[in-house]
Amino acid sequence: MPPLILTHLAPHALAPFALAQLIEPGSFTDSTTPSLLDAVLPSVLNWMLFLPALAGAICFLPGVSRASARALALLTTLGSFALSLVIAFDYYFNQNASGVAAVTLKPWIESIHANYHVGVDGLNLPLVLLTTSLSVLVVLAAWRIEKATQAFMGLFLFLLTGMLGVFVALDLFLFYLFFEVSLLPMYFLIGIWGGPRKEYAAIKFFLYTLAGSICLLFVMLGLYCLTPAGTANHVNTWQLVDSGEQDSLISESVRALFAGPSTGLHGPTPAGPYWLHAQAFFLLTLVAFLIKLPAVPFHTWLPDAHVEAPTPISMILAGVLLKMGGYGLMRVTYPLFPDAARHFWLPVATLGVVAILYGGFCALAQTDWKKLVAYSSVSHMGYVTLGLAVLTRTGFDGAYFQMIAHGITSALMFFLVGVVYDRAHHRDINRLGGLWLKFPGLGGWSLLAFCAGMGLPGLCGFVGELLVIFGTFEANGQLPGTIPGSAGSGGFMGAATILGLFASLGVVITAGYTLWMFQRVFMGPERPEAAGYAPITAREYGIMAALGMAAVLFGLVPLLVFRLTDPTFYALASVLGLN
Amino acid sequence: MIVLAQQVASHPLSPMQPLLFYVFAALTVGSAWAIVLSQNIIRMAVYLLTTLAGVAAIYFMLNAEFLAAIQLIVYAGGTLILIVFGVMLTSKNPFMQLVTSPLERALGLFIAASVAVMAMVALLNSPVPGGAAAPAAPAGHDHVARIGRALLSDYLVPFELAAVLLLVVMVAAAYMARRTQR
Amino acid sequence: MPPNTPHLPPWETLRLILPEITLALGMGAVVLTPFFGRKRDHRSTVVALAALFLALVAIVNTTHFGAATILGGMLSVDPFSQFFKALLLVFTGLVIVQWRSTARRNPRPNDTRMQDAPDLLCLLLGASLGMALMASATNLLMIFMATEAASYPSYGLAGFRKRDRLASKGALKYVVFGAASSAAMVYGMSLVYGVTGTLSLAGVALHIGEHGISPLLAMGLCGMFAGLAFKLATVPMHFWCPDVFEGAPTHVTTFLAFASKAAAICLLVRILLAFSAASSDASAADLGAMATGFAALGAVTATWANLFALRQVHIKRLLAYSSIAHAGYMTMTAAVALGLPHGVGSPNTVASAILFYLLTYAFMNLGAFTVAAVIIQRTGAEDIRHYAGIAQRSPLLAGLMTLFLLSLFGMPGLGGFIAKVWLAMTLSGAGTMGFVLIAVLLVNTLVSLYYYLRPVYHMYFTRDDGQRPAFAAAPASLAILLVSALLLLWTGLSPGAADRMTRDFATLAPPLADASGTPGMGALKDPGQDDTNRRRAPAAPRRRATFR
Repeated sequence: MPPLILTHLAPHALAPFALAQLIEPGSFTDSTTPSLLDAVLPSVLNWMLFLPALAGAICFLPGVSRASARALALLTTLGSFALSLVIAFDYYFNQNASGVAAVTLKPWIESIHANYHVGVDGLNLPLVLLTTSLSVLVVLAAWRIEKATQAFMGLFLFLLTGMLGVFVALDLFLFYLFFEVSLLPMYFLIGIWGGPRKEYAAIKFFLYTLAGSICLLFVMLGLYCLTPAGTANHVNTWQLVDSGEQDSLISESVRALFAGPSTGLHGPTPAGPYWLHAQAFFLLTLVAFLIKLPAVPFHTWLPDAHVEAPTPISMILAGVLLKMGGYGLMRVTYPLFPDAARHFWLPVATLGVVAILYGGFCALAQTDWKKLVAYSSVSHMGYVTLGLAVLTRTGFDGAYFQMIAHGITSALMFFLVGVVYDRAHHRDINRLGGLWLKFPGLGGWSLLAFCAGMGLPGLCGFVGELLVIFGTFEANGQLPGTIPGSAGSGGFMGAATILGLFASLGVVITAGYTLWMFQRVFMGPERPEAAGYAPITAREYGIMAALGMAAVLFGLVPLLVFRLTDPTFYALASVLGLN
Repeated sequence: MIVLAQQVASHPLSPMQPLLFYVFAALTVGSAWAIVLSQNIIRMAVYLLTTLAGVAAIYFMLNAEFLAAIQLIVYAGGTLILIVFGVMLTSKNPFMQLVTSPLERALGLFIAASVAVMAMVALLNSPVPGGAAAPAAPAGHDHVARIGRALLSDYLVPFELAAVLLLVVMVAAAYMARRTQR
Repeated sequence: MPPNTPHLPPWETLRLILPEITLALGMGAVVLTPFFGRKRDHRSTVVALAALFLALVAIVNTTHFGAATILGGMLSVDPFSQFFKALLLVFTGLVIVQWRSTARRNPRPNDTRMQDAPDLLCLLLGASLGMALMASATNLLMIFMATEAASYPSYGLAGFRKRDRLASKGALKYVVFGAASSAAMVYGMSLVYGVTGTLSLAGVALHIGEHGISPLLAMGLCGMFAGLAFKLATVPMHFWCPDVFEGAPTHVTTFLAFASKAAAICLLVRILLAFSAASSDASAADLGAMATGFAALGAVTATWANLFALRQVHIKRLLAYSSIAHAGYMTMTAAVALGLPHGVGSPNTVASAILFYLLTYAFMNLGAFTVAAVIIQRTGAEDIRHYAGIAQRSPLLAGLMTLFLLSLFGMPGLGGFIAKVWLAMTLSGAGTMGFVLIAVLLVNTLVSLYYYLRPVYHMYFTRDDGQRPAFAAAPASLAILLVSALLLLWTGLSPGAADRMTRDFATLAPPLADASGTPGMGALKDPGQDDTNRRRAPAAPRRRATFR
């Protein structure tokens, strides 16, 4: 067993920080009477989803000026954000057990039982909020883009619809549609507004992520065809939530087909008819989403894409697009194939730890500031892989929180890099220095951002990493083969413990490259060329402040996220048999 | 000779029939070889004539007089003359030598040999229903009338399609041959 | 009336082939237009479009007849064939419109000149006629004649730029390959006839069902399918395709890329479904082997074409390889028709998947080639590396080209994706082989993304040296493009209606028609009993060679 103190530091041990606990969910309204809001919520969600696409189409009309395109984009993202807040508040105060809210369910392609099925639950709502809020800041960050502004804003708004669609889709086919469609605007945004090697980066990004999508599509087709035609399973293949039972994320009967052998209380049960398929499908969907996440060894597109992408696009890429990978794992891969996930936990967890360490070491070696931040993303997303792989409740909470936290901090870091790049016109860490003297405000916010990324307690990066590492220790002795050679039994130095220790080492490496970078860029004497740097505008400070304060807020009150996710995660835990 | 063949063939039990068949088959195949091996284009045309005539003779032996006649009229009479005239009118030297490279020759030989082997193996391993003897012609039987009736009843659509095809080919040929007005 | 008495088929039969008759009459009318008045190009275009329209009306009139095999088993007129014919005629009409609207004001020596309009239109109509009959043919002789009727005009069309060396090279390659494959086809058919004693497809299928496939019959079938493979441009009969597509005028390329392959795939589906319908335990293994062969053929074709397409820089060559790849995907799917053991699954899923694929492929192909034609018309650029700056000069065209290319690739949200999903769904019915084929399909799709994005890459990402003037498509071209784009978006985002339609039309006439069928529709004769059939068979090679 892991040390007692670690197991006691479960998520709720952080409750003393929880201002949110003062306001109990469901305390405001009587949940038995449906409010007027409930009736309009589905349309609120649909408007939130498609308003950006509509505005994006308007941006492409001839005769739209740069200024009006900017204003339209800002208004649209603000509107989308406001609508998502409406949904979130309603969900926060009116949530029932673990239900899905704001659901629209309409038949779409009847011959393959695909539905237009969107809605929010604990699993996607925080990510939706992250997306809509971040998009407002991204539009502000892109305010000074002069090259084909209308097209930029239009494509960005399309991208926003694509990203939101991935999160709110509750039908696998619809999910896939948005998953691929969101690639296209990104391809153009990198390819047209990017740096010197933008074409290479854009096509690499597209091909890599598309390879993942193809794996996903193969699994989708396989799932559909293996379930016997004419049965409810077949009809429900694409359902990502079970519309009948509120406490299950995926149709129980579909999952039974793909179940593995188990040794339950009532004696061993044989594997389901498609257990081998389930293993293959698990690995394929895993690859699909690990490419997006990205995890080592599928990560090579990320540094290229980040280095070439313009600042606002880097922000959205790191802040939201990578989260699609983690979200897909939690929404599709793990709920569909829990037994396969248990079977393969060790390789997947190892991949996570390798990503943490490898990403960290790569970041140590970089001299390009943006590439450093990109590799730090790889390292941080490794915690997501690890947290999911160990199949503990704490690990899942941690992985999810890590995604939100990384969404905030990485967007802020990329923005800071962009602010400096706009002035210095290079990102070479060795040629920067003394920026603190020139821009103390920038230095302050940077310190906050990098500390948050480093996982300093009280800032958002801390919670996720801590929970993932705890979750890993908790898993010790509870997963097959934790100690090689003695399957099932635990021990203090089981495989999970070793992985957890290595993951903790990642925190040290992060501190290393962060401090090293901070010292080179901000400390030391002011460089002569810094005299000509333009002052930092109020717009830029505003963006930094918004993201920085969010990093503090979520670091102090992580329950803001957990209150939304908890009910759904309870359901997920029962499905997955989490420890 | 062909008339003789027909007379012989009209007696199915005649011992001459297989002999004649082998003679004409050898003629056909031998001159086909000669076409391939020859290097002079006019010689090739002449060998082609004997090949076609050999095929026509086999048609006669199978009681397909109409077909045999068509074979002689259209191919030996029409197409071959066309080829010869075409060669004479277009090429600078009608007696030019066509030389094939050894590699092409080997490749062609290989492909032909493998197809032949495959065909022989397939033929020897397959039952051929009713392929042993040519059906004896009933008395008072008129091939041309029967073919004509079939063409205008059962095979009306392919027959009419052939007419349409001729129109298309004529249009295309006329277009290709037409001098471009500048 | 005794058998074999020459007679005009009754009106009930004739009205079923009225579309083909209309096309044939239209051809004649087009050829005659130069003799009436001076404006031969306008007049002949109007006549051709009118013939297409009337034929389309005639098809619409036949659709409620259900399925019937007519004219002594020569042709099957059924929803499947009529859907394809309607699509083909609409497509041909749009190709003619595309040609008129993308013609240069100051034609270059190689362009199709307006005074040659009657020749071009006659050949186009003739090819359409042959292709329409290919989709209906149910007799080996008819199959051969229809294939030739589709091929000869295509040879002429391929060499239409007769002053162009490239075009002549392509056309010559086309003719030589075509002649060789026709020879193979007719030789194969003669072997099939020799073994089975019948020319009717139903009879051949029945023979296979009873006796399996003997080596000799297998050889005959190989030869027969080699002819079809040539029309489909599958490996190894594909070498003509890129050269012909590059050398031919763009409108001809547009036409050939869709029409010739679509007709061949319809014919292939019809043949294979006939075989599978008459299959029995005796022939299951042989048909399974044949299915594996076709699946391998399709898979190799698609892979080969996609790998070769990666290096292409000429837009028409690129799209040529793309069309070979698409033919490969469809061949793979057609193979499933055979692989399905009788009684399991419904053969009509194959037909409906193919129809849906053809529907979307027709329009994405038309769209992509039309944009290419407009670009050639306005800027002369055929090399995609010269596409730089087109996104600035004509944002709408660049956007539409992107849309069509992405649909060809199979981007979700566009018709091409749904079409591929339908193919995959059909393939999945074939067990393990099906899943292997799905994997091949998906990996090929991934590979194809690279070359479909290359024109996009050059249009959007490559910097243009100078400020060259903006340009736009002519109204008629723009109309074609917008219609195609809307159709792709419609089939991609809301495929329900199109799916229902293709499913409704995916009915083939039963290959073994009942002798006491609908009055006036000649039912199939009992194969092997017909003495005339036996005598007719050797006549076939003569016909081919006559026109050589």
